[in-house]
Amino acid sequence: MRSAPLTARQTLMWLDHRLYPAAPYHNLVLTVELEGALDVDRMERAFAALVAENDSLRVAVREDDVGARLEVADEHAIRLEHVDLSAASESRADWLRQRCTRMLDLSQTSGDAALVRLSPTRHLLYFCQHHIACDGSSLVEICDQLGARYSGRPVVAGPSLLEYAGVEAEYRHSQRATRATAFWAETVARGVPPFALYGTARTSTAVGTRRAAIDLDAATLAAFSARAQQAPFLLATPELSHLTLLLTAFFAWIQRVTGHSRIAIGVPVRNRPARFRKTLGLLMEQPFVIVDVDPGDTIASLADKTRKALFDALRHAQHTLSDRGVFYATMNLHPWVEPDFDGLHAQVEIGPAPARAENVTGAAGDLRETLGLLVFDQLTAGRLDLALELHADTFPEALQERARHHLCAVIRAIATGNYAPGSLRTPIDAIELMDEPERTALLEAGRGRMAPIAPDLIERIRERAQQAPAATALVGESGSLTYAELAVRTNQLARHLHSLGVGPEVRVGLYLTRGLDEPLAMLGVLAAGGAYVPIDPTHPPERVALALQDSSPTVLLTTGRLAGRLDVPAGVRVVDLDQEWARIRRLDGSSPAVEFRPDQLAYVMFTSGSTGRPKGIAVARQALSNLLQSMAHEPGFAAADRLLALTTMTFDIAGLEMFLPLWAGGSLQIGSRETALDPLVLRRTLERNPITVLQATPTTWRLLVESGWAGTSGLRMFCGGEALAPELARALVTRGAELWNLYGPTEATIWSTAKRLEPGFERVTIGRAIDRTQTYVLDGAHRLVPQGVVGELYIGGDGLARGYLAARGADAERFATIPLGAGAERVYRTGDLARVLPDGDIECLGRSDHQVKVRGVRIELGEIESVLRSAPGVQDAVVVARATAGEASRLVAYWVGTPEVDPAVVQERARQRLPEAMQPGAWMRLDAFPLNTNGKIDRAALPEPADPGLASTGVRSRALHELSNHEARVAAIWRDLLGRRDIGTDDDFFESGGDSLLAVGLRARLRKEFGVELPLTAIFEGPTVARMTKALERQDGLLDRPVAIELRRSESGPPLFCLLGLALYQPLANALRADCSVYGVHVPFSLDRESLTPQLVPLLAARYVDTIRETRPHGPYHIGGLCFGGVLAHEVTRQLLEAGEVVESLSLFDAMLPRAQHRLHAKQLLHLCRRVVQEPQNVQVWLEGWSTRFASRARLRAGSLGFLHDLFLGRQSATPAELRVLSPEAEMAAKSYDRLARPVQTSTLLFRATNRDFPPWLDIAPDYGWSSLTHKFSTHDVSGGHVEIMQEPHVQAIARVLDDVFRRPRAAGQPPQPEADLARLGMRGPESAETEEDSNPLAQRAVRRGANRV
Amino acid sequence: MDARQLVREFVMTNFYVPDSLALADTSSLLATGIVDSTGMLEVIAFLEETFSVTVNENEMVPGNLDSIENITHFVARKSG
Repeated sequence: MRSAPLTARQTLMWLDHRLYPAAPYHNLVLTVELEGALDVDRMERAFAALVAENDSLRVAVREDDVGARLEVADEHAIRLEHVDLSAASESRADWLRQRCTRMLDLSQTSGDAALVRLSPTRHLLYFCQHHIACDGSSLVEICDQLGARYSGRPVVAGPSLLEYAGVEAEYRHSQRATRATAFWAETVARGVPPFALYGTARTSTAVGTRRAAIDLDAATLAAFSARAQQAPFLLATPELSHLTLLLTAFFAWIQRVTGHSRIAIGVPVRNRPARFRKTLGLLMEQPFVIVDVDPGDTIASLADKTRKALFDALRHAQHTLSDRGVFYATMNLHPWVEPDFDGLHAQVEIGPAPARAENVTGAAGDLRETLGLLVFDQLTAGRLDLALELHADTFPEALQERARHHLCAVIRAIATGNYAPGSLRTPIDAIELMDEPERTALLEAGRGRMAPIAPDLIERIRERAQQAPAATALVGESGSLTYAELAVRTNQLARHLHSLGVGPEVRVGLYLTRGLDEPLAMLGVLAAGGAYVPIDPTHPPERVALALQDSSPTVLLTTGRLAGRLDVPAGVRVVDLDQEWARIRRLDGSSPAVEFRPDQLAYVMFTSGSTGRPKGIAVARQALSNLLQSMAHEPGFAAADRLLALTTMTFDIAGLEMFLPLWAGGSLQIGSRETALDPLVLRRTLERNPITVLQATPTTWRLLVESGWAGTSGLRMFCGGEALAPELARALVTRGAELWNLYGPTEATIWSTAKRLEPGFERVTIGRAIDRTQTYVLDGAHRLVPQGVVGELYIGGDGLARGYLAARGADAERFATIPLGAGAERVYRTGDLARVLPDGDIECLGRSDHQVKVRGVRIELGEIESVLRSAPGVQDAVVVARATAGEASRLVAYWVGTPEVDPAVVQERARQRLPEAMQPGAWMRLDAFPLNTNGKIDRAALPEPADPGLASTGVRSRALHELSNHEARVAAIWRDLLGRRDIGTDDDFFESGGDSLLAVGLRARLRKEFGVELPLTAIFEGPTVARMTKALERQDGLLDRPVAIELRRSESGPPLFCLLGLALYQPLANALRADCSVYGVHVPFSLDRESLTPQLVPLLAARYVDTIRETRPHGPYHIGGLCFGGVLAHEVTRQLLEAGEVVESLSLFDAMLPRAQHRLHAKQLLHLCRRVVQEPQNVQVWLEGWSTRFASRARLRAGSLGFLHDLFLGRQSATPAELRVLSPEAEMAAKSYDRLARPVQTSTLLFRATNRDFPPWLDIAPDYGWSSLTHKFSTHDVSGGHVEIMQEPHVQAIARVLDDVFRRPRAAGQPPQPEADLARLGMRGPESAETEEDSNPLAQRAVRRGANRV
Repeated sequence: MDARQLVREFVMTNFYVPDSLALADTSSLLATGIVDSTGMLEVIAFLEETFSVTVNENEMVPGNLDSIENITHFVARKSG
């Protein structure tokens, strides 16, 4: 029997086979139809000869400890079965479909074959083999060789597959392989972000792609194909030239429909050196061709890049899989191109009957793929034949059709024109993908209702005042106004302003405090024909000065308290309403004769500009009234409605709050400043007033929800100004009548789109354009992007502002006139990324200017934020890229969530949904986000992440000593496989040097260690020690056996066995310098009825002795243990000595026998009383601090076995209680051991932790009870707590002492001198009088530590 | 052995050349099916190792590589 290890590619196939045990998509199937009278015997002989001559047809996969091997043996031969369908009801197609989707048992054979009789003159030869031992070229060879054998023609068979395996193994050590490895490492290091065509995401793992021919006329295809014969596509052979051509088309298309610039396409290549051209087996490779499509790239320049990238990939193809990164890339397959499948359509003659091979892909489709893209480049008969395969579950039929159209458009663009190189200068981003109907449909979807042009706001309110003069218009703290009163007041103020020169285009600054003055002032200015400019009294003076400078108001409306604060520019008339209202009220209350034109300036709103100077946005009256008319229609506002206005006047959405109620004849209640700021006040206001509409930012809504607001029946909730998290939307949607998500930039007047979110909504969108408004999602070249593709959101229509008052820098470019639809249109570029969903709704994906580059990868922060927001319990998230000195920028994720959210869950979500490059490098959970005055998150004010330990992965790897025993065993296997010592719980196997081959070995070792089969998916999906252990622990029958794990290896010197812990002792093993191996030993142990005997410690120790002697049959040994492990160590030492072994030293790490504790009841009471008198305020805390201790002491004192017995029987139903250090069970066991312990004749070292809080009434013997039970006893104090002493840096002190002991020649074995150690003792008080033990000089000093601590 | 002979020997020993075919120096290696896409890469690896030249992707055109004659001239140009 011969065998060979799997090649890298075979390993991948095998892993896939195991990862998806129910998916037969690696079945390669060949059918050959045989017409005429077939000589069945002859065919059978031909097949048998074929199998006999080619070892790849006689293989099975054998798993062993280090992975898997391909084993050649006659019993694994593929057999030819005879099937007769001539009389069967089953159709040939049904039979085929059923047959080729069968899972092959690779441990038996690699394939199956059948000769199917369809009729006396028609047969079908069916051949199926797993990809692990077959590829496309092999199928062609099989056809060829079988035909030749049947016809008696000479047969040229290739060298055997095992021979190729040998050559490949040799190649792995060649210089070329080294270069190839370096090439792929570099390629992978560049990183390729995964993408989703048309914004699709895989929704199911079902197998199946739909394949459809590309619908192009013959002339276009011919012209396209002919391109391959010229530069820049020309590359060595016609096949490679065609591949360059096709890849260029694919890159262009994928770039356009994903927006990604870096794209990788896997290209299967035959990879058959001439010698092995006829060898049957898996030889194909799939190198990756990676190209950056940059802005400005033309077809020609892209072809250049593609050709170069393809050539590089091919040169290194034979070593594609040696790099784990490529392995990963293969696991998340990128779109691929199939260039070399022409063979399957070759005409093959077998015997007298002409036959045709066909490629049966009943199991077509790779379920790992989000995108299944295949191009069949069938150069047969000189004709190019293209088909596109798309995953059926991911791409709806309509989308598949659009996708094909778009690819056709790219192909046409490449094909058209003459063959002169000049015609290939078309920029990639200028290729028009969409046809007219598709464009029209998109434009239509983005167009809001064509409502009639809205009347002027002031005229509308006057109308209302005439219709219902007594209706309540305004409600404020100081009273309310009817519509009639409002009209009179407005007119009076307008007349006054008019007398001051206010008219069309004249600006009036509003510098007011919260109250009825605000709406009155705004309306008064508008009624005078002028434009108001809100100025925020809370803003710093410099900013106010800039606003005044840019808006150059003629009049400034303010109130007495504020007037003095402002440095008013010369020439501005200041009207102090506090003083002047009385005079104004005496003016004529009828409407002044003022003309309102639609394009007349209504207001100027200042927002932060990209230059750092606030910019004034000038909005016309028509834009304002259009918004109001649209919003009154939908979401709707009735005369019976009352809106509570919260938003500060300087935020443009306040315009809706001020005017929408008045526009609709309803009432407006001005919320106080406190109402806006304090959610509790807001909640009370909602409870006590008949409010039916409330508009606020998500942040305010969240505060309201958190204040305990249960909801207000009938309330219509308008939410906008920031991204609305699904979590918040879900909380809100049931708390009122309607929830509306509103979206719009100030530059397009308050809101541009609206979406009502109904209960049970699937995702939060911003809906569709409001009246007389048009949305466009465009690419960088101002072209519409297809549905689903991410582009930038542009807005056009009546809502557009007139522009900026004093446009500076880039701001000026935000308004542009671009050709769209029928003609040119003026649009505003929002800077928001968006895509159009199938139902026409727009999904907003965050700011495009939050796009950053981290490690060279372009990243949309908005995308990361939406993923984090989608985690359950996360209320909001902000991601920023922070550049630290001398370092590449890293992503910091800030989030706010409900208290029960586990941060690990949020991080897990990010790991699941985002590519590596988009993983935040640091995480900060905040109680709330810092806000700016508009109630939006102030990104600049986010705190700097403080903990550099979080920098690398965001998850703090648990320290070595914190590993659970299972984790320690997993880590030990990693350590062996990877040759590394410092394995953290959250290290990634593949980033720590693991690759696919090692993963195979890992799985085998895990099986051996734990006795359970871990699904391979678990290794790939959870490639960390922690997650692998979790996966193991989920398996039934996990093997818990006694283990001794090597923590440190040394060739000579007696080993140190540390008991009752594995990883616990890793820091000690690392810190030691002496020549000695270190083992952690753990014996699983369940406390049950039988084990609870006074003999517990000796019994358990006997099992430890067995485990130690299995590892090292004979001494000399060093033995040690922490806490109860030390007690065990004592008994283990005794038993080893009894068995005639030599134990050179016994180390007791803070291990204490109960006999060392002496309780002083009087002191206990006295101490308590003193505390109560001295520090009454601390007593409660103090008592609480001790209460847990009392509880455990109580258990100890009540420590009859019966008590524990019940305790454990109760617990046992859940998990068997294990004896661990620190457990009360261990203390119990120690107590029973105390009575029967016998002395040992071994040098003993006691390491005491100095930082232990013993109750003040407990006196502790300094020898911890050991001196009479040991020989050459010495005591060493180590700073740190009970368990801390085994950790860095404290463990160094222990290691230094042990180094001395271990290095000393055995004959002269002496413990360190006690005197030397006395100096290091950190004792606090010499109250030696109360000592019980005095057999050791050291014991003269009682240890009274921690007595004064709280 | 001169370059032409080295190239011929490489082609004859590494690729399957049917006995029936009298391979002329000017015969197309692609049209006769002797060298395919993978073979072309083997040829390049051979040239780079034997003649210490570096072939870049712009030179990977039939004019340079499609016959023993073309290859010989190409090597001469690269080395000279």
